[in-house]
Amino acid sequence: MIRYFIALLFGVSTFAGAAAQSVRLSARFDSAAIMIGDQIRLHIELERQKDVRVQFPAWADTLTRNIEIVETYPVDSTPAANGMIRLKQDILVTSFDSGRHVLPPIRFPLVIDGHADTVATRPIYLDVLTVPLDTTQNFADIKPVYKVPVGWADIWPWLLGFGLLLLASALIGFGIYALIRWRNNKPIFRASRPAEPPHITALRELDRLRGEKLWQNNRTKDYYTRLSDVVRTYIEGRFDVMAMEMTSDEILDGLRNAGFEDNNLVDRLRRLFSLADLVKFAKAGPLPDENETSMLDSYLFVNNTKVEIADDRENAEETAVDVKASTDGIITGIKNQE
Amino acid sequence: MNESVNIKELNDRIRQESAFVDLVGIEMNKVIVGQKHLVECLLLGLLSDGHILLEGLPGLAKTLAINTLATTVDARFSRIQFTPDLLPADLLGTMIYSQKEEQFLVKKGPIFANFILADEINRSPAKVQSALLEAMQEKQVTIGGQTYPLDRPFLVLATQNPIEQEGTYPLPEAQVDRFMLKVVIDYPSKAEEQQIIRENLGQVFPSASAILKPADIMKARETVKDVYMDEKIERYILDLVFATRYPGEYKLDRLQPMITYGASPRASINLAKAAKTYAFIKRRGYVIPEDVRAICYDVLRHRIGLSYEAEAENMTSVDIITSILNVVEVP
Repeated sequence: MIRYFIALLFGVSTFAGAAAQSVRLSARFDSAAIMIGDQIRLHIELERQKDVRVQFPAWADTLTRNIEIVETYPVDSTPAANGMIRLKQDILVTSFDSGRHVLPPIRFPLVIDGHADTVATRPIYLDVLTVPLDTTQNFADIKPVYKVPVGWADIWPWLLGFGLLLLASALIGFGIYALIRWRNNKPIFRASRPAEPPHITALRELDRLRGEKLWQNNRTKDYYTRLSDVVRTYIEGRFDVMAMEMTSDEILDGLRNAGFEDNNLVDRLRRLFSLADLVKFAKAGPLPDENETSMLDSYLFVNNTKVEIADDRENAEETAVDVKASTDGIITGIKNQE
Repeated sequence: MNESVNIKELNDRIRQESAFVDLVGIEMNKVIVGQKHLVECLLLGLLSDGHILLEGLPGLAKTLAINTLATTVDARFSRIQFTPDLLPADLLGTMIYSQKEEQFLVKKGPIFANFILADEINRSPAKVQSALLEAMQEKQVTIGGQTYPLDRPFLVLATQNPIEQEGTYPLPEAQVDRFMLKVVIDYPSKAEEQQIIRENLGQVFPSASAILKPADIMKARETVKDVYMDEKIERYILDLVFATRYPGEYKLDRLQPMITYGASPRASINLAKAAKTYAFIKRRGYVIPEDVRAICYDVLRHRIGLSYEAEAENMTSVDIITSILNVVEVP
């Protein structure tokens, strides 16, 4: 019986020795003393054989009643000497109770060769100090707020914010403008004014139309459609009247509203549009001199209402000379026919 | 000017045959002060063989206008007040047992007249509205298995009161579409109203004379069909109607969410018919874009479905039509 007991005791002591050799555990604070409320790290270091399985405790929010956990860092593993593995974990702790506090042994469950065991750290002391009071001195007033010197690092966020505010204001302004234009069914970006004044375009188109001799080739409807379109396009560019989307009467009203009061030209325009409407919509076949007169009326209207831009004066004068020649040619033609 | 013979002849013929329009205008103006647009639309409906939905506040001479027109044309006029308890038989007629003759006899309803004023059509339930609208479409009524053609000309002027919506049965879109025109009338001007007061307080209220026969109207309708409409005008009408359906294709993307449904093909037909009639009323033998634009609002305003977004933005069908007219190019 005694022999069995001795054998059991020997076996247990041998296993405990094996555990101690397979696992080394230590725990220490950065410092043995801190001021009250200061934070300090607790370093836990555990070395184990590869075949030993160790479980780190699940930390709560306190280590002891007086030592609180601020933050827990993850376990870091690195290879150590003799084929061992070193596991490290830091825990940031603090204490708000002065005095000497004892951190009791922290137990780590482990498994060696299929047998469960436990290793523990040694107790550690932590002194938490308070601010010493000098009672011989008078009470001091509360110190004013420190004035921090202003540096570039302080200014740039404000500059950036101001810039962003300006940008946002510009975007909002543009958004409102775009919305108003959109609701009024106008293009958001104003079409850049054509480099060519409307009368130059109109006169060129009239010249081209005259050269094509449409009515002479029994294409009277095309002739009047093109002729009225040229004049309407010119009115749109010159007087800002939406002539292409208006009927003949509306165009004449629009001209009057735009301040155009030349009754002679209005009458000629009315005659032109009436005849064009008859040809376009009522299969009318005007006489040749009516066709020529319509062309002449168009030239006269454009020529007498054009606005020349200063930069383009030279070009316009040249065109005016051409137009005069064209107009004279038509008048001569009509006289010859008569 | 050397106009093509056909158009010149047509123009002359229409100038002659439309002379009565001025006379009708004169007779109507004896009784109706102002409301020129209403009178013009009544003539449009009468000569186009189309019916009119009239929206306006009470007391704006709706009944007087159609009654006067009936007098001028020497035609029969009926006014039917639509009420919630009205039955189709009250409108169309029914079979009544005659003890004397010992058989059922047909008692024709008030719809058997040339001019019908269906007052406050939305006060009656759908079955009565349907009965009227079917009669309008078919121009005949079936009572007791026997079909009776309605009098010609047959013009229905239905009114809706825009301010009272309690206890009404709004006309469904499909039925509203059957009206050729929807005319909105407004108050007369001050001068017109002063004239109205004087006429009403005078010893004798003016009355119109009969200057036409229903047969003259039927003949004029045939003449209206001859009014020339160029292909360019047809394309313009199609552009206007298609712009209500596919605004995006006409640079009107902002209208897309405002419209739930656009005008139907019936709108195109009626727009063309009304434009021809308008040209006839203006004593012309051909249609010009002015004619289309003049009747565009009345033909299209009840044929465009407005979305919730449009109502939230206080946008009406009139605003949509205006936007379309401002964008679609006139030929």
